[in-house]
Amino acid sequence: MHNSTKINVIKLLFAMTRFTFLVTILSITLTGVLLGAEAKSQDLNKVKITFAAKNTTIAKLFEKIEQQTGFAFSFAKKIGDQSIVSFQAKDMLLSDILKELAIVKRLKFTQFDELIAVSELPIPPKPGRISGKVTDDRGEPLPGASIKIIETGQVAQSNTDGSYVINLQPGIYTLEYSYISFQTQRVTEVAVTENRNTPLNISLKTASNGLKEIVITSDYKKASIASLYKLQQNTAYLSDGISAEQISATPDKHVGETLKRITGVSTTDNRRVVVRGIAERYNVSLLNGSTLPSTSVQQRDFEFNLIPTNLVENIVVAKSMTADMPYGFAGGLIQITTKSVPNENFLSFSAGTSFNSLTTGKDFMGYGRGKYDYFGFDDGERDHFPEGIFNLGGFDPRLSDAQNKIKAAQVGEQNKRIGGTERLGTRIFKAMPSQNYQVSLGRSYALDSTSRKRIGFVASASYRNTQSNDEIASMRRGDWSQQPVRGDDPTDINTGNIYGFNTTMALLVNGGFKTPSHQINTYNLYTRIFDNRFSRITGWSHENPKNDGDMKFPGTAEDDRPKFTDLLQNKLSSTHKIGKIKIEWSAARTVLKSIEKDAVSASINTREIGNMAPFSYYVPNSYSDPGFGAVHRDQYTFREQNFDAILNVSYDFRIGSTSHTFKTGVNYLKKHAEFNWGILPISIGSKSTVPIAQIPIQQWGNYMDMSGPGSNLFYFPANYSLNKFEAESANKGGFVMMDHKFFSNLRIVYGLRADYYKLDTVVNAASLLRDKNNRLIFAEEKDWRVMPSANITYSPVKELNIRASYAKSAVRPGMMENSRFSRFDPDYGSQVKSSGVSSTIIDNYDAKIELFPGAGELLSVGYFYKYLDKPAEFYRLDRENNGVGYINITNSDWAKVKGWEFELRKSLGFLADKVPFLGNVFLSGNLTLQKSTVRARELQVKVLADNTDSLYYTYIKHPRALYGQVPLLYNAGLQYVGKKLGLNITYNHAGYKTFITASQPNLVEYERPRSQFDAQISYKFLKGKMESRLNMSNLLNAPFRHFINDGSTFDIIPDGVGEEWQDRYKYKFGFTEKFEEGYVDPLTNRRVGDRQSSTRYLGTTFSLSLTYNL
Amino acid sequence: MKIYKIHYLLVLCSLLLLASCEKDGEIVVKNVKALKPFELRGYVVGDTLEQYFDGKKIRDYYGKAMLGTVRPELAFTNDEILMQFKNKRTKELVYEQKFSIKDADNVVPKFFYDGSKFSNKYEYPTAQGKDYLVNFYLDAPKGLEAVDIATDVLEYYIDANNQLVIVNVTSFPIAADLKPGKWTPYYTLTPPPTPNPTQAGTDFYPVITLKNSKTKKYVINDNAFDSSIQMEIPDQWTSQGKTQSMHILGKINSLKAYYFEVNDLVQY
Repeated sequence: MHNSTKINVIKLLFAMTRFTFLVTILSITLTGVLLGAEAKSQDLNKVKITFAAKNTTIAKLFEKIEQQTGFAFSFAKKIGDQSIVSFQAKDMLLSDILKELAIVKRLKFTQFDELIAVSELPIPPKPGRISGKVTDDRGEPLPGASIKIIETGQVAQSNTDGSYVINLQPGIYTLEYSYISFQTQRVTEVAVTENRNTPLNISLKTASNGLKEIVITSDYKKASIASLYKLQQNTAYLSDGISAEQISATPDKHVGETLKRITGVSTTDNRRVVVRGIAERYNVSLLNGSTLPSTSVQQRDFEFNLIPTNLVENIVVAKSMTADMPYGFAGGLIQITTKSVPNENFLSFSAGTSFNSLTTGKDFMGYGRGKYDYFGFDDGERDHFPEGIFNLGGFDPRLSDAQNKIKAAQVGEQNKRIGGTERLGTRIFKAMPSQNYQVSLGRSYALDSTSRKRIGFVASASYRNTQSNDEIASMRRGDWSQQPVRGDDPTDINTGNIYGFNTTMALLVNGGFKTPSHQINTYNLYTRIFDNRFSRITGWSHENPKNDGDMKFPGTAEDDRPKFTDLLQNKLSSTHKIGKIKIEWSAARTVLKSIEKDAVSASINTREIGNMAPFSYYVPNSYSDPGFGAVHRDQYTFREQNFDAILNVSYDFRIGSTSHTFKTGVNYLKKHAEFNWGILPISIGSKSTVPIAQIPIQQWGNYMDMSGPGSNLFYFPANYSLNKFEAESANKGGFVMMDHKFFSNLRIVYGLRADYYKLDTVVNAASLLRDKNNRLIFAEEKDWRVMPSANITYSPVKELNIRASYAKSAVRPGMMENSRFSRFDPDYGSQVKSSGVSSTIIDNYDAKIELFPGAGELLSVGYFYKYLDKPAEFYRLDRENNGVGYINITNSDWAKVKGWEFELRKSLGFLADKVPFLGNVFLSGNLTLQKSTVRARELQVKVLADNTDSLYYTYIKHPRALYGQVPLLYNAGLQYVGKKLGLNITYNHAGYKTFITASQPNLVEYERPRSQFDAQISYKFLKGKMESRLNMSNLLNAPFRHFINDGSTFDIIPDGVGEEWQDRYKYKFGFTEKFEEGYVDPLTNRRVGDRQSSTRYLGTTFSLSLTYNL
Repeated sequence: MKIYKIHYLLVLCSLLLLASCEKDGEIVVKNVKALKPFELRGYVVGDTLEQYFDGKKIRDYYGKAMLGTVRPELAFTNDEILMQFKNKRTKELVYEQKFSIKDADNVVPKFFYDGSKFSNKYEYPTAQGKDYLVNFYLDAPKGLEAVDIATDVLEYYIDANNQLVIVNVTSFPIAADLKPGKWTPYYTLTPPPTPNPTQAGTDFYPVITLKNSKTKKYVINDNAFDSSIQMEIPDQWTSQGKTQSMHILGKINSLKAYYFEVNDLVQY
């Protein structure tokens, strides 16, 4: 299989090379113009010829002409071998024939009497372009700025929005940007390539020394990376970002992988983003300025792996707020901008494949597949939820038909309609290499001669199939056994795999129209994802640990979740500038629909029999089990529809030499979410004679007609198994904001935002019998909130920014965070549920010093402090005191988070005099250090004397990390960008992290530090038209490791009632937030110390991609 | 031509895509044709027996060979199952038996294996008159090279905490320097005499005990009671003789402590 893949790659390369050749020939054919000299003899204009030729060569054609005339041709073999599909001449002048040939074949004919010399014409280069925007050092456009091409003397002027386009022949140029009272800036080594655009945004600095001319010179590479930093420097708020160019230098395939490269940003499973150590639910994600719906049903987050990086223009993470930001956040506002109107026409194809060390070519397990899984669609085999499934509430299989309201035959008929169990049960497949293909097209058209009015679009279609195998080396979380029964028994472990099969197809069509005063854009993204996550863990449970009798061999828990997701976002946005007034508006509609079809959980029991040790078999539920049971097939349908609209108006005015902006606006966001679940436990009737241990699960469907004890397996949905959650929320707000620019070095932005939020749960059913009488506590105190914000930026010198900001913000609960639905999550080994989540109000204080020592270089230090009132966290609760508990999302009382951030990006150009190679090397790094204290609270119920319930909270304070927080985070990177060769090495380290918190120490779970090492090699060939890229990610195969301070690491202080953690618990060996390996106590033969709750390996991935740009 | 080449590229990509499509995998939990009752009982000393089913080793037997916690059934994936016993050390085939799906019961005849001979009956001399004949086979844990065996009469009382307190031991040797790994000759046991009590309120309890031949200490906790093995001792009222073949199998429990599993092969 490996060989066949190699052959495929070679074939692909060969095809690509042939393809290039053909395209070159075709472009010559289509665009060639006869520039050759006319044939000089008058005879040529007199001689007439008649002939017809098909599928011939030029040599043979000339031979025919020679036969009919007295002329002879002299030409090179290369010319003679050129093919001609058909050529017809009827009484045609020889001069006309040669003219046509000259056009079609780009030939030049020179006559020397009767000899005609034939030569090839050089291919005229197509012009390229340089385009960009000229702004001042505060980001304001400079209309009428002068752009001079030193080499040609050509001069252009920028438009009213500061943009410019210059058409140039391919070559290397030096551009000079000048504007009255600004320092002239010269950019060298600006490469213009044929038919392509070279983007170059420039920010000019105010001339501080009168009329004396100073010219700043930098090269293109520095100037273009500098533009992103300039954007960062010019924003009123604190931000960090990554440009398309920086993204392309990483091995990242989707945005989830890229985010962790931004200062203060880390990700959970490459999908959920933690900003400044603050968990995903406190971060807001915007795609082209509109909110993204949560792709996880029970958590507020967005799976960033939906967006391929090659569609991304840039990602900016705002970390402080201004009043015009419509959505509250505590960690960061992640703004993903996809490409819209291109500056150049392009058509590119890319294809890639990747191999994972733990997956490719190895066994890959899963339930029955559909024919179209590779295309992201179901073939119907997962359709097991026909219309009209009724619940069997009140049906008792022990009773006769006469005593039951629902008759056995009705149950049997429903079983038949639901269908058989053929798809169930694990199969072994072979994992294939991942594959991805993409085609992108961009077109831009000038609507006037000055190119100031333009219309254009970008379209992209991509396909990706990824197969992954996460190896779970140890699972001691939730329901699984927490430690070996005998400390010295190496076989008493729980292990497994999570197999991921993902097919993603994305279609993006963005378009826009712009004039100097108006701009209108439309953004449209459709994504189809088939994501099948199959987890299979083998081991012993906490309830039934290993023994030498009936639990000698481990059992297996399987969980198959085939999820089909459609995400469609349509957005229209517009900017109008009328004099000093700027109007911005946008409207967007986002629909996310996901359906988990035939999601199955099943258990395999084992026992030792005569000839098999172990003998394995699937087990149905007991009819008396009121829960989901050991085996159930489910369907979950989630649909969220968001509509958002924003209108902002700003007015620029000047007072003396100071400039000011008044901005006001309104925003509206309406969400509607509906989540339907259908859970079909497969139960077995009483006194059953179905030989369950010897019939495979695939044949269970043959024993479901309910005709008697020999056929009494049945789907047993209760009324809470077929139910739904439906809610809608309205979020609207308005703001006023002032932006003062005093002189050139002080900027003050302040404002007030009024924000309204209301969540209505239309239907909120429980999914478990025991939760039916539980109430959620909604502690939302008020609908309207007024939130001030202020930002000050002071630049004592041009290269230095000092920033300080304060903002109050509100983070609203996600739609499903207030659902009473709960479900077993195989990752946690537990049920996950909510006990009601209210808004979190946050006071944010930030300070930052940024130094821009040179173009593209940055050195910054930042400090932040946040007070979070009622932060929501993931808790493990153990109300039943069984040592296992469940995961619950609820509000803590408060949290305080403070931290430092450092960032460095430095070119090694200053060493380039000695080692020229270092001129192209960049060193970058960032470091985040944080600390937090949380006061947790737990809701208690007291029965009063009058027999009514009274609710109150108990509190416990602990200087622990907030849920999801990473106290230490750093990235380091080394990048070399040569003309053809590119090398990139990145190292990412995340320190200890609180994974799940709890009020009891033995339930808190921490994640151990993890370091990932990635590398990338890229090479451009075929004159830069083709780029190949070899990515190596997770080279050290760093595992995700979690641990818990086991009960053996602390004592409970008798009568310890204080509010501080240490008032209640006495620490012993192993009781820290750091991992201690522990030891086996020889007396008890039990482990003492930290319990390794989960260890998971992802393997090393090597991916090769080829991109071809036409 | 251009279009044709794009098609070629697309076909190539599709081929890779289609080559990836694998719909039916190999099912992990296999179909079983029938589950049938199964019985097995035997005894193994000297060498370990390996039990194979259809060429796959399932378990080892040493000492008591019985199903115990093993569910007494056979799973037929085919119509026949071949069971084999092999000597673990030499891999020599000792016994084989076929089971058929058609049979209602699948019984392995009761067997005894002494490391060289596999038979259906344990052979031993018949005791004459009132004689109590006994031989021993010791499988000692590591570190115990030889034992002395004796009939010890314990003088004891039960204290307030319900603990047995030994105040005196009177020993009557049976065999000395008994090496592990082989059967001893048959010894004739005689009823031990009852000694005079050394203090008031005590009782007498005769037991067979093991002492380390080298240190002369009782093998477990240097305690006569802890180091005693369960077997019948004749007394003055014994009227009928008896033969006992005691297999003493030293084992280590989960707390890493020695204990002895003792079986009488005559009774097995």
